[in-house]
Amino acid sequence: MNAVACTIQGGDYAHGGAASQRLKEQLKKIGAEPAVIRRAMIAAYEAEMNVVIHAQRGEFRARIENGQLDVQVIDQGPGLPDVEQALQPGYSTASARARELGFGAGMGLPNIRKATDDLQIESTPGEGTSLRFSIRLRPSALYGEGRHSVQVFPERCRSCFRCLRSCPTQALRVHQGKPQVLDYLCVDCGACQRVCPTGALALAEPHAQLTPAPDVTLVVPPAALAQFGPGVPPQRVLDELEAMGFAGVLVTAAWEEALRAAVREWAAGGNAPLPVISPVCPAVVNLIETRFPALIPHLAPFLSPLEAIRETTAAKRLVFVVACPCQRSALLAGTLQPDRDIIPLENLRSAVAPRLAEQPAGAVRAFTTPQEVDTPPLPLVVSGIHEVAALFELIENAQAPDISVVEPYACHPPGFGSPLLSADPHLAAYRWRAATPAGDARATAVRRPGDYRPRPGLRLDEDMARAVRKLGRIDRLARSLPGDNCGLCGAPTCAALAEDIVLGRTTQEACVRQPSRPKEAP
Amino acid sequence: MKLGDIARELRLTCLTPGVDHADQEVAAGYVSDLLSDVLANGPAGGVLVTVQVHLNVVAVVVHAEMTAVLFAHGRQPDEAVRAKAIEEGVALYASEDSAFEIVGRLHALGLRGPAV
Repeated sequence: MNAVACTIQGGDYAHGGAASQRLKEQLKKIGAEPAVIRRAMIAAYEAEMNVVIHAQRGEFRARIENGQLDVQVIDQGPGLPDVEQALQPGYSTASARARELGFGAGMGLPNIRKATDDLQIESTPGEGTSLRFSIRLRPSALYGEGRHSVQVFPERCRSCFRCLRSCPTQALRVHQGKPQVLDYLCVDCGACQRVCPTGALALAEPHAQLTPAPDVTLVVPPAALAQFGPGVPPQRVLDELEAMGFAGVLVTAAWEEALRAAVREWAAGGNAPLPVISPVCPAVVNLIETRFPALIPHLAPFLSPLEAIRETTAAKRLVFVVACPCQRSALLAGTLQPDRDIIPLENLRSAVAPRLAEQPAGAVRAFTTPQEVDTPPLPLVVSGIHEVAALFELIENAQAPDISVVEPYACHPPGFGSPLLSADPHLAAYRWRAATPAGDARATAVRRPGDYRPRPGLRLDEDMARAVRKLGRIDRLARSLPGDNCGLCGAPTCAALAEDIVLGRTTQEACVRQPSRPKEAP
Repeated sequence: MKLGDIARELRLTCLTPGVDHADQEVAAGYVSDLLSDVLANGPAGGVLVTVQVHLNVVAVVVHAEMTAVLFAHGRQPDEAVRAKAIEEGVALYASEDSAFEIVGRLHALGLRGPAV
């Protein structure tokens, strides 16, 4: 539906904001969530005021369709000579009059980018600017938030069903020969990618190539440096990267250490129930928010090491090499662009390997092996998403009263078990420990800006009465199924299949163990 | 703390008859004269301290769902701004003190900025 369509007059400060106001009323009428409305208002108001401040006139059009808000603001004005520059905070071409009124601080377009799921700007100097943005309304309205970096390539799937049982939150289905990830359940742990033999489940695209540039600071995890075999210590790879012409190369290990110290202090401060859980692995944080919401108070309120680097590093441009899907998703919750700022391990490997082969080993800078200091309390390090989930169940049942800090990782061994790593993870972890490059004095832990929140999960229906009826049907159907969770239907459990049937993800014939199709028990 | 108590403590003058939100609990605030900054960071339900007195301030505060605006340094909005604020249910208050002074007192009364 067309939500708003109107004309904005340039220079008309008195009526600036009228179009956004109308849009807000429409969004309220369809029951959009307050947080989504606020984001929509930030973007719409900034876009509207841009026309008032800079252009002669403009058209504001907003459409709501398929659970998405699309806004388009097209103006006749001076245009932007350099769109990329205009997206930088602090850049402004506003008049003195606009600045007197408190506009023109160079925050408009950056604000819009932060508030929207997609933003496109086209501009011709002397003619005008066209700005389009989208905000998804449906995920939070019906399914709760879900952002993951697992991409499905259905044509590669051979229906082996290995992924079904690998998933700690039952987020996977393989119906009609095609894998499907239920966004609201996926915690981005990478377990399904590890077991998928055909690459039907892979790291989401797009991503960037490793392209050195003098304004780019590269951020790399230890796993990226320790994947080149026995003759190539991590420091050698680091030297090679530095020689390629980046502004700098940061290794995340120092930030992991800073987080470890901060979590230890947090636990000692008596601010939270013990054991305190370190947020070092974004997938584990997702797991807690999805499956163990009762443990949220145990999570120490800090950003993951990569997010801390993103928030505190004064660099012109940061480009991240990510070792796993959850790191990619955590980084993209900010303003980074996947096709520009995110590089998967493989792209680093393929760019660096030829250089390592060219130059004989030997010109290796001296490296230090740091003395590991075990400052009490000793953290309980647990790795592997299923092992982590098992421990969390014990913590929920108060069976770990002697533990004060838990440091959980979705992958095994910690930080090196990513499905994207081509080297053997244990060898890579050993080679890192045996020759760890020097730390980084700039490393620090950063407090999280917001609270951890339980994920709302699936609502069966927007209408409460219909949702209750569906719940009843799922229950009856589940009891009529064999109940041994064989997984041959493409759902991980019989209860999950019952839900899939009622929600229309598959049909009643899916259960292959029933002589006749499942009937609903009375 | 209730906005009415804050107004008494800081000797604020209410500029929007009928809309003083005296009984509303206020826990957060923000100070800025840059409207994009207020839009992006102003805490919902909080108060804004500013020297900007024009109509767009009301629009931004409405979008940010803030409760009241405290104009610092003796700045006074005109009649159109007051009328718009009353229509939108935003309370406007004036103070002779500087923004620095006002924010210091609000902080001492227990108000805090948005979580960063």
